[in-house]
Amino acid sequence: MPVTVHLDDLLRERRMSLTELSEEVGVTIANLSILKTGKAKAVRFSTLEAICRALDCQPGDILAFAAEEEVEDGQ
Amino acid sequence: MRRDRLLGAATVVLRIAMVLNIAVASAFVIFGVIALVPGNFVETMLAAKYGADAAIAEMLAAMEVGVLTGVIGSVFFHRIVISALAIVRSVGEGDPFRQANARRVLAIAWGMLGLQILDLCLGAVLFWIRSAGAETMTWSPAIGGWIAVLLLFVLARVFQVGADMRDDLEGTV
Repeated sequence: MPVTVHLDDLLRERRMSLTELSEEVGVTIANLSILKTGKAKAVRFSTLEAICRALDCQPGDILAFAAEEEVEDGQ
Repeated sequence: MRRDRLLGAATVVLRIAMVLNIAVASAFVIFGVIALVPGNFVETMLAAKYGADAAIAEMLAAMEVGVLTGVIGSVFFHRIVISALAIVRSVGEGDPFRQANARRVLAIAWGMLGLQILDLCLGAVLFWIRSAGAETMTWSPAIGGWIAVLLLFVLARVFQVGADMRDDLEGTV
């Protein structure tokens, strides 16, 4: 998918576990895991806002757009 | 699984309706077969009531068409009950807005339309039997049934849109 999710990198940088993030943003671990692995079809603004607040970041730090061929090339 | 009294009652009523429908359909088939045999009790009873000169053969032919209408109606009704039972089960499971249920409501709507058309056929058959000189029950078109058919087709569309919306929501975090 051209939109990639960098939640894993952010969590690593903040030394935070998915469980801790789940408790802080009020979203289940299962749903955060779906988001983290790029399997989510859509993200609510409220979820994005809560994650940005918890990780002290911008939506652009979590999500990025890459053209299809870039993703396939691993760039 | 979420169970409530309404769903429980609906399941029981639908199952009873299914059994009764099968029983009635079987009775129709048995009656239809018996009425085909020359000199059967139906023929004897009609001759006794209306006289040997009455159009007994025509009355019997009209009755056979009526029986056939009833059997086809039972098939439609069975399909409706099976679909309704599946919908009730899915509501109990807490997930009614599925594509399968949209198809089931549409099947119910088509089944009801079939029953309404058969009701018109029944009216024609009763007119035929009366024309042959026999007494029949009174018949009038079921206006409520036609409105129910229209509402069911609308409801099927509602289910379809609901199922599409649910599919959109699935995977939303």
